[in-house]
Amino acid sequence: MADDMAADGIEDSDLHAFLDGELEPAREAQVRAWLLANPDAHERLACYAEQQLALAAAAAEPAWPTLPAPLIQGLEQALRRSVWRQRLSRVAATVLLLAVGWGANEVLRRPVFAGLPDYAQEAMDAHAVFANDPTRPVEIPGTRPDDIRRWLTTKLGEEVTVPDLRRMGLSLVGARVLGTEEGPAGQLLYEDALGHRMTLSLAPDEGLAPDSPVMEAFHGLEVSMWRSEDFAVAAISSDLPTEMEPLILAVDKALDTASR
Amino acid sequence: MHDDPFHQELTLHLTALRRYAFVLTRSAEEAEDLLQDCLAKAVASATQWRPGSDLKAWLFRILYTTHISRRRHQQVRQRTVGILAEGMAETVQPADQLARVEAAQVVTHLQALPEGQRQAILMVAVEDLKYDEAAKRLGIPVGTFMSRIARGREALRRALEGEERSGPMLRLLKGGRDGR
Repeated sequence: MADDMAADGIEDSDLHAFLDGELEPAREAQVRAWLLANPDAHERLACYAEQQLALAAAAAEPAWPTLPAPLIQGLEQALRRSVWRQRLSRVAATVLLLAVGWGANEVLRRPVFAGLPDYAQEAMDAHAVFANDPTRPVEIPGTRPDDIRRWLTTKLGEEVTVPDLRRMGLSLVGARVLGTEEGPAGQLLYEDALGHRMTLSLAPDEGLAPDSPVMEAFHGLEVSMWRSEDFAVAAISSDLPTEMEPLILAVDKALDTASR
Repeated sequence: MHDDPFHQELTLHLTALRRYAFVLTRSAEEAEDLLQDCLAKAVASATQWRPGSDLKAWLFRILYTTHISRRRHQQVRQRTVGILAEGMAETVQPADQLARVEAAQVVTHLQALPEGQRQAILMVAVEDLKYDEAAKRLGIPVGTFMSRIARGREALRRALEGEERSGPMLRLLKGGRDGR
């Protein structure tokens, strides 16, 4: 790579200067063209750019990590400032963290939503990406519930019956399967008469879920998590006022039926 | 409508934002998408910016979080399983970490750099100084300053790469080295 650079008259210092806006327009245009033709160097420069952004953000945002604050202190500060605090009392927050079996150290290594189990975070991401996707929100449409049942049962390795949520005013849009670090998770997408959507995520390892049901708000999304027979369940929605109890009952009933 | 301080100042920083968007993405199209996303968010939350405060820093924070979010969404899309796929899909990448955890890692490894490199990086990233101004303040030749930036950033890049490859346990043990 160094040979290529020298041959083209571009030096490593040029790349840094490009990023920092130190180059004359003509030279900048040359380096830009060179970067387009040299993806490895482009990638390396992207890493430097991300470092810069991270440092600038960390320096300016009081809620972002500043080092070297003690780990526990940092966690408490994050909890105090986040949306979490509006819904859960401090005691309940601690209970949840302990209930999912996490020490403070592990929680700090998690992304922004400290304390949210991975499978629920995956479900939130899936909801954000697919729930309102105009082209292909689901893989199998809700008009083929038997196909969905068979597909999910195969992929998730557990008997699945698709929960019927019509009593709650929700019809099934369809299903998708997401590969995650914990294994595959089924995503069922529901919607009400107005088109507001909810993602119901089924992860086939009930141990991933909190011991008792929790509903939380994160950045405009409502996240409900609970442990069902054989599954960790998460329900994600934004404009749907979701009653937790009827939802849990309906889902548990369906999954329980399946496993018998 | 566009005579207000916010919009006027915003145009001053467009060049720099565009340059960063180009560096962060893989194609001209993606760069333009990222930039437009970022600007849309900035304009939507314009009321949250206090006139007189650092607009450039504010804009770049939005660029950073927008970039992280787009990257995360791309990864999620890659992990959806097609119904025709045999068995499991790849899920090669470890779970992406959102901006704060990345920032924490960068800050951690920054502390392990030699002071000269650390200072050089921070003067550009945080103080937003030009090379010659920064070199002057440090009392060193510009060439020396530039070489410190380059070496520091590369050292950071390798340290962060190593971070990704080693497991979570090792990550906890890595912190706490004295700065040299």
